[in-house]
Amino acid sequence: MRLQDARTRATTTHLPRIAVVAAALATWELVSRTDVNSNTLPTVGEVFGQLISLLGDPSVWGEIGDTFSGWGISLGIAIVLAVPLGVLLGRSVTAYRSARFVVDFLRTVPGLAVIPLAVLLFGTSLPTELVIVVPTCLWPLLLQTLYGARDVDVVLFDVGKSYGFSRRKVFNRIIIPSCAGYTATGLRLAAIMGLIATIGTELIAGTPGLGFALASAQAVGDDLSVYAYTVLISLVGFSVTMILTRLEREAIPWRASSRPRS
Amino acid sequence: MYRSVMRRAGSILIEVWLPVALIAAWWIASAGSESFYFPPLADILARFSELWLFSAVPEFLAPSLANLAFGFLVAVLVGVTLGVVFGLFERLYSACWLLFEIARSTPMIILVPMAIMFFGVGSTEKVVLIAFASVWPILLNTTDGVREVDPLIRDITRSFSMGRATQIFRVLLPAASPQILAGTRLGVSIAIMMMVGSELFASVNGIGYFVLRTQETAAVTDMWTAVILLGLLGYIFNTGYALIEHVLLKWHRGLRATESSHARGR
Repeated sequence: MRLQDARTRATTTHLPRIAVVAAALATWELVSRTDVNSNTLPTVGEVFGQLISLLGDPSVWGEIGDTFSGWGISLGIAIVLAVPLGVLLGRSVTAYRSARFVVDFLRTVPGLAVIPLAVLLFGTSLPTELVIVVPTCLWPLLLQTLYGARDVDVVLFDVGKSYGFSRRKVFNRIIIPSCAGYTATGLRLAAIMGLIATIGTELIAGTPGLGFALASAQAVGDDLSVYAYTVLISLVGFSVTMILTRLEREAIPWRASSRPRS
Repeated sequence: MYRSVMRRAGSILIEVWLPVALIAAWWIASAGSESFYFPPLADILARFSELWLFSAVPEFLAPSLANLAFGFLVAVLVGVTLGVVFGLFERLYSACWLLFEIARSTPMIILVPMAIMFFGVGSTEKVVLIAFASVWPILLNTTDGVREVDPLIRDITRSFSMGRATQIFRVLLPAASPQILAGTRLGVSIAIMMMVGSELFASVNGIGYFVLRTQETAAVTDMWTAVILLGLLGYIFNTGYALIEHVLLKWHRGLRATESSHARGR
């Protein structure tokens, strides 16, 4: 029975989806072969061939490592800063009202706009990347944690009080678990926005990583590698998004948005 | 009377002390600064008003804003149109889901080199990039909005034998407008990011070009003014958009309030 379900699902849902992607690739192939407006658009085969030969090159794996380590370090710093600050702003009205304008202003600053200053100060090294990516990751984490901390059920505090919880215990046992769902959402958003900012910084500022590899390919006129890197980064972005969405669903299964749609 | 005045003064004070303190700290710490990287805030602000109020605006700001407006407009038109189509044809949307997800999760900034290969560096390239990057949240939100229109309402439009056009413009689009506006709001911030990013990568005019030039001539004070300008633009667009949304959706909040008061039995 379940197998049957899986099979019909495969033919009615997955097959058309794959067919549409295949059709998009076929259109690309067709355009590249007809060569309409004398664009030297390479064929699908050429680009994926180049992609595979890139993946066989250890230096590309170094670039992937650079991108992921810059991204990971930034996320780590952002978590350490944003979660305590978010709890503070969520639990203290005075703190929230004091910080509101600053937070509202800073989070709307387009992160990439700070690149010229960061490059001036730190050149093309890791700190430049951190200056751009940490703030990008910070805001969604901070705001989600803030909403979570504000949303703690008041009854839980009474329960804690009647059990004689210390302040620390209230924080660890009541506030943190209540925030977790919100912070998980914030983490997913921060991670996705952070990856975009990381690759964007590499592309524009020239800090080492996939973005810089793409920019270099463009600078030396290696068109085929530009396509291959674009496809590669696009697939990395897609995989990361899918994995994070799945992880969030597994970690917080009781949320409404995680439940399967009927 | 006196008390309420005091309370209001207190509540304004609590909102503004931190921003004022931060700017004052910056002002004092940078006063008389000899550092090449951190010019005094007083100098930055003087230069800011010299440049951006408003003598350099037509040359450097206007082209960027024109690209932004044009690209975003294209994204709204294409996104809402396609969103309605995909919202109405469930099967079509389901089939295109994977393609959309791949497109949407691509870091759009990486398309800059490819766009330059196709269009060269210039306005066409910028407009295409801005439009292509910001169309996705608009398209997907419109689709969701149209799909979530109460099936009963769709049945009613059918029983009144409304034409497709009337149904779309008088029923579906208004009903989906909260989601459409949420999508366009996300679209605006993506569009701004794309404008800034693509201009900083390569440009022949616009504010990004101004920044690239200050980088070459090591005009650090000018660069600071540009970064502040971009920050202000981001803030103005985001808050401005939230305000427009607030006004446009007045009916929606009113409707929700009546609905919930009905639900509570008045």
